Amino acid sequence: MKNYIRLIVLSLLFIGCKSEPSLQKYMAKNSENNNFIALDLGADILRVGQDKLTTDEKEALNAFQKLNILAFKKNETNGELFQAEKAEVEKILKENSKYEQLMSIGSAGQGGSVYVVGKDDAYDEFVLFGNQKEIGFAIVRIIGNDISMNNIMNFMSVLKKANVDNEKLKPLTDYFTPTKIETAEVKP
Amino acid sequence: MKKLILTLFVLIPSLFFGQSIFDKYEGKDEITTVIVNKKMFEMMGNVKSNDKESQQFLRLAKGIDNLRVFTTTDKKWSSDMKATVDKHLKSNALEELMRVSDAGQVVKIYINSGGTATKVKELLMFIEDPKNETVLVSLTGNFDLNDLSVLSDKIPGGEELKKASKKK
Repeated sequence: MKNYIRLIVLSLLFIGCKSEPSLQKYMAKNSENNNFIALDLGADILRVGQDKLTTDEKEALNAFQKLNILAFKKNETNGELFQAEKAEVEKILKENSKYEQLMSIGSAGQGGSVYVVGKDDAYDEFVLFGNQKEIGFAIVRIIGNDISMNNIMNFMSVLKKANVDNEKLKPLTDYFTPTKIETAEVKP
Repeated sequence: MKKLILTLFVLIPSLFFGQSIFDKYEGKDEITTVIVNKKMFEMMGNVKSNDKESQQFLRLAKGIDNLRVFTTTDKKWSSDMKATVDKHLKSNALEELMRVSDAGQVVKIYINSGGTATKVKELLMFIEDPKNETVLVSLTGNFDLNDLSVLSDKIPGGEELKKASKKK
């Protein structure tokens, strides 16, 4: 009997420790892979003068911390891998309960979806996932700290004032040239 | 023991809540899909706003659980959609709110009202146009038909919706 209880307790512990697959791990695992390109950007990419911002906008800018991008470029030889990797990302987003889907759009071999992590108007992460069957796919994680809906609205106006540092995005644009990636541009 | 089994039976369908018979149209090459989930509407409901139109929109947003739009020009999928809609109408308490035929295009709007005249639990719009595309819009939640008019310029068939909400 005692053994049974021990077994149950052990298995419960095991279940408790079972970690859900996360995008973070997936992205770290593939960042060195030749089929992928990874890019981490800080909020400084926006190059916006603090003095030009209102208090609300500063607060919004501070809520956002960084941007992680992982993109897979499809070529003549990695078609099967593309399908497998795309399926894996979709599986993570579907099965890990912390990602809640906000919306998705799809049409003729391409699609985009937006996920969020967090609740009660305090969000810590937004995930954009876009794919196109000829080009590849891209995952964008926008990471922050207790981002509220009003932060997002104010962040939009920060973006209008910002002067985006294209130099920092160059590895990504080079990677996909001459074909451009079409991630669905959806405002969260 | 019997009670337990009974409870399980009652609970199981609720696990699949949010699933819909229209889900099969997702991810098909010939069909364009737009799906907006409850979480998105919840988030939008948190935006602070003062002007009247956006307040109406926010009120609507809070009441919506799910918006699904499927569009196709493919003949096979068009007839599949029609069959699914017919099936759905048979098994759910949906009543026809209005029907508009214009130059070969037929727009049908069905609602499942939650008792009162303007409260809506489910709205289904089906647009058939043999020369053009077939559009299926499904909106679920608990919202006011009058508030729908703010969506009119944002979704296909919105003009018809506007007319429908005025009619009531």
